Order: sequence, then C-alpha cells, then structure tokens
Amino acid sequence: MTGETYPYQTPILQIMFGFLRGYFSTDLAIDLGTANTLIYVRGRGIVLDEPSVVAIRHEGPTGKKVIQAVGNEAKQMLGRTPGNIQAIRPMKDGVIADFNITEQMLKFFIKKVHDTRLFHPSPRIIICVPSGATQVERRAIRESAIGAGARQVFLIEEPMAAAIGAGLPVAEATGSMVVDIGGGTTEVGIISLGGVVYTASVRVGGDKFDEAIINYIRRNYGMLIGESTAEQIKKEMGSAFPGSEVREMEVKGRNLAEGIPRSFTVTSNEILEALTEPLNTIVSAVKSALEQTPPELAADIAEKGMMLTGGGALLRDIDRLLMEETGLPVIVADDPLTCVVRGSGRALEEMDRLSTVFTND
Amino acid sequence: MSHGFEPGFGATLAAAREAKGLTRNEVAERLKLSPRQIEALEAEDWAALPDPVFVRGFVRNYARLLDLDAETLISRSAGGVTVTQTITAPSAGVRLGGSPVARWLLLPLLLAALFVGGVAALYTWLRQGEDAMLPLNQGPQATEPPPAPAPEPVTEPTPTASPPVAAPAPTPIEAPAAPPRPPASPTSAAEPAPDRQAAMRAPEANAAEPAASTKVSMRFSPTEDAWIQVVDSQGMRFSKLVRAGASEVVSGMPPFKLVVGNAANVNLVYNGHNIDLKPFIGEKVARLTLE
Repeated sequence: MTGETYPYQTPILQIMFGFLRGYFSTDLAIDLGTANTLIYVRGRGIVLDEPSVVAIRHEGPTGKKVIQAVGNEAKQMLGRTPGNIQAIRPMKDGVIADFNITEQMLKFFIKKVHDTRLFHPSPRIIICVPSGATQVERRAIRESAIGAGARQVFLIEEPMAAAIGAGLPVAEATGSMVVDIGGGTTEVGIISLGGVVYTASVRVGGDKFDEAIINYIRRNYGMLIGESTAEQIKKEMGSAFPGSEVREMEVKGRNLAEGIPRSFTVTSNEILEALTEPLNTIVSAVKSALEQTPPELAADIAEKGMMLTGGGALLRDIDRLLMEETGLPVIVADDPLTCVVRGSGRALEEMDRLSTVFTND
Repeated sequence: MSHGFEPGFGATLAAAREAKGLTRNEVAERLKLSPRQIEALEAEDWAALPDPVFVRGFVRNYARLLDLDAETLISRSAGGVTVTQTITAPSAGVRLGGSPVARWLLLPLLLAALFVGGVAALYTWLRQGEDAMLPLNQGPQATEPPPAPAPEPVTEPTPTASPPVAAPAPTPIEAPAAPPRPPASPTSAAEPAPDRQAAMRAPEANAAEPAASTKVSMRFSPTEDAWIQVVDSQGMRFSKLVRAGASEVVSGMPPFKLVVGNAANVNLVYNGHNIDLKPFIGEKVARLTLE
C-alpha cells in the first residue's frame, strides 16, 4: 500500500469482522444503471463510467463460461458476437435480469477501482435502486453487491440520489421535484426534509426510446436496425418537441422484404413521432406525481420548477416538452449523466448527516 | 455574490431580450416563470430568486430562448463535475465464478491465525504470572545487600537490643523464606520484626559467602521417583527424573531456581545443609529459589 490515508478508520473499528479487509478497501457509491455503471470512490470522486455490458465466452467442450470483456469493450461486441461469445446486458428496466452476471460485473468493477491485489476488496457500498423496485429486486441488488465482495450495503433510492447529485436542497423544508430519466426507468420524486414525499417509477427510459425507434423503422420502412444504430439515431437527432429545423440522417439496416442491407434516410420529425409513445408515458408519470403532491410542496415546485437528470435529460427539447405539458419551469441539471452517482457519493461522504436518505429494505 | 455566474449576466439577458423585441411577460410565458422572476433574473436580485442551482437552470433556459450561449453567462468552475479518472476494463480471461476457494479460505485462515496468536499470548502471560510468584519465596532479603561478613554474636539478647540482632549462629537452616517460625529467641514477643529479619539473615549469611565466587552443589536423594529441575544463575539447566534411592548431585552458580516434583519424598542437601521442602509444596510440586 502507498501512504494513502483512510478517513474511515475510526468507525471501522466497530465493525469487527471486516476490519482487516476493510482496511485495504475504499468505500464506494455505485450507480448500477441499466445502461451505464458509475462508481464513486470516497475521497477520489467518480473513477469509473462504463456501460453495463458483459461479454461471456463459452469455452471448449466443457462449456466453461469465461468473462471475455466488461464495459466499453463488451459494449462494442453487442450484436456483433460469434456463436461462442455472448454479450449480455445483465440489467433490465433498472433491476437485475441476470443475477450471476451482474455479480461478476460488480466484482470486476470493484476490483478495478482498488489498487491492492493482496486482499479481496471488501468495501462498504452505497448502491442505487429504482424507487419502484420490488423487495425481491432490492434484495437481489443487495445480494449481488455482497456477492461481489461488499462488507456492508446501503441502498438509496434513485430519485433521492439524483436530487442530491443535482444539488437540490433536499434537507430543507421546501419541496423539490426531480425527474431522472435513466436507461431503464424514469423516476419521479418529490423530496422535502431529507425524505421522499412522493415517488413514482415507470419502466420507460433510454432503452425504450431505442426500441421505439427500431419498431418505428421496421413498421414504416420495412427495415431492421440494431440497438446500437437506434441509439446513435436517438443521440444524433432525437428530440421530444417539434423544433424549427428538420434534420436528416442516413441509416443502414437490413431490408426485411429483400433480406439485403440497404441504406435509407430518416428525418428528425419521424424520430419525434417514434418517440411520442414512451415520452407520453413519462409525461403522464410526471403529471400524476404533481397531482399527488401536497399543496404546500406544489407551491414550492411551481416557484422553482423540476429538475431533469439522467441520460434522458440530454434528449433534445425534453425540458421543453415537460414545460409545455405541465406549465412549470423545467431545468436540466449540470452533467445529468452523473447526477445519481454524484448524489450517492455525497451520501457516502456525509453518511452521518444524510443517514435518513437510505432505504431499509 | 456571484453564485457562480459571470457578472452582469442579467444585463446581458435583458439586452438580448430587447434586441429580440420580447417583453418580460412573453419570456415568462415561454419559460413558465413568473414575470417577477424574470425581472429578478435580469436585476440579479438573489433575494427574490430560489437557490443558485435553480437559477443556473433558469439562466440556461433563458439563454437558449434568446439563442445565447449559456456557458458564457455561467462560470465554468461552478458546476460541472468531471470523471477524474476512468478505468477501462481490458478483461480477457476472467473465469466466471471467480476464485471461490480463495474467498472462503481467507476467513478461516485469518481466524486460525488469530486463535493461535491468542493462545500463545495467553500462555506467555500465564507463565509470566507464575514466574512473578516465585520470588515470593525469597522474600525481601533477596534485595538486601549481603550482611556484614561477621555479625556480632549477641550472647544475651535483650528486648532493647539494637536492630541487627543475630540469632545464635548455626541453627539448622530453614529455607530462606520460611514461614513465620521465629527461631529460638527470647525477644520474639517484644520486637518480632527486626528479630525475624535477623534470624533469616543468619543462614543467608552462611550461604551467601561461598556464593560470591565458587560453585555450589546440592544433592537430591528422593525416596520415590521425582522429577527435578534446576536452573542456576548462568542459565545452566538440569532437569531429570531421579529414581527412588538414587541420588543426584547438581552444582552451579547460585541463585538456583528449583522445581521439585513429588517433593514430599525428596531430601535435599544444599551446600551441606538439609533443606526442608515442605513449606514450598503446592499440590505435590515444590518451587523455590535458593540463594
């Protein structure tokens, strides 16, 4: 070990068992997202930002499974793998779809952010869960983190983490509204005095946008495109509100009728049309959250508006759409992609002060 | 207070708005803010505005409406957290399932090591306690300087005699730290303390004389088998099971530490004097130190 200081030495003494291994481990906050996994290390900041993708290779006649790649490298393999390699996204709709792979992925990432090789890292981990996750899904996330070597796991609900990360005054007696549009879920939360007043989670997010684009193009063009292409289209010219300029983009895919790769051109208006359905789900989730808000907090929100976080907040004009639909000011957080992990990181740094933000189940 | 905004951002916004021919109400309508808030923004009136984090969003929205670059109005240093260090994951060949053996082995090994360490610590601690008890036999005189080579023989001790009263010289030697059994001395009633000290010093005086320079020998002659261990001041160590009827002579530099098993059946002659082991027997083993 180098001469690093470990700021948690004193409380760790109370945790008798993990003392030694804990000494060589650093506390982490993890945003285990459907699309990306981000890790915040106490005292160091965000150190890892990789897609939640694992590539598994089936080896030889014994059928042994070996991890071929994790993260960026594995993401490039998505949809391009030969028979013996499987690129898997172990998270779906914000929760674990493949328990073992998630555990391996977490273990891999946790090991990556630790310098020491001598001991298995055994950190304390704060990990985010969608507010709509069932108890079984929460337990699965907790267990997978423990399986990946965590000594202690704290769960934090994503809207809360996003609100902290966006810099909202969560601990004050004022209502704050946050809409976190992630890869798998959209979380709407209304927060006051360090607690969640109302929270809703719909399983619509970036993935659903991609899916909607794929479906739209198949229906209207008779062309099949892959997920990566759909994501590229979304990032390039996806928008949530009709803008003044119309963009065009050339897309390549396989023609369903002829079975031959072809290229064709789509416009931003078409993509807007494709995205209407998932966007409507988000809008109605936001509206129903506002309907459920106690009047005092609603007044605060009318004054300050709602905060958009998550990768979905980068969709062009999504704030405009929500503004027009709700008639409230809508603002996009600084660096929306990292809000959740930054919020979890702050909860980690100020564990004592922000102890109320963790969930118990 | 700038709150992370470039100074004069309000004026810039107001100027741009007027250049576009928009009124505050129109802007408020588009941004879903109240005209009061637009006014406060342009006047940079922080008291009328919510937290800076919201204001930053408002300014950004406002700037976009006016086709301004919001980043020129907001200090870059204020918000933006960047990924400090991204670790890429080149990762081939990690076996799925990790190394389960190492995982479950580590903890038991650690526990076993702790257990062994604990037992060792306990053992040494107990041993130390034992050793600390031994010198009890020596009593206080062990630390006293050797008495004058020739103590004046006091033939008729009286109660008022001076403290270093020596008992009539060669009484049969009791062990140095014999329990309070004052030697034949008429003064015991009146002044027991100095008297006993003197009595104890007497045999020691005899024993100590040769101890200064030469080796001293002792003979064990047990009537039953007995384990005997002797350690002298030089660290010489004798330990042996001495058979019944046999006799063993040990010589070395005093003081000696003795452990005599089955002590009730062992006769010990030390430097020509018979030593009664009875006062030192606990259970069956006698532990004592001989000067």
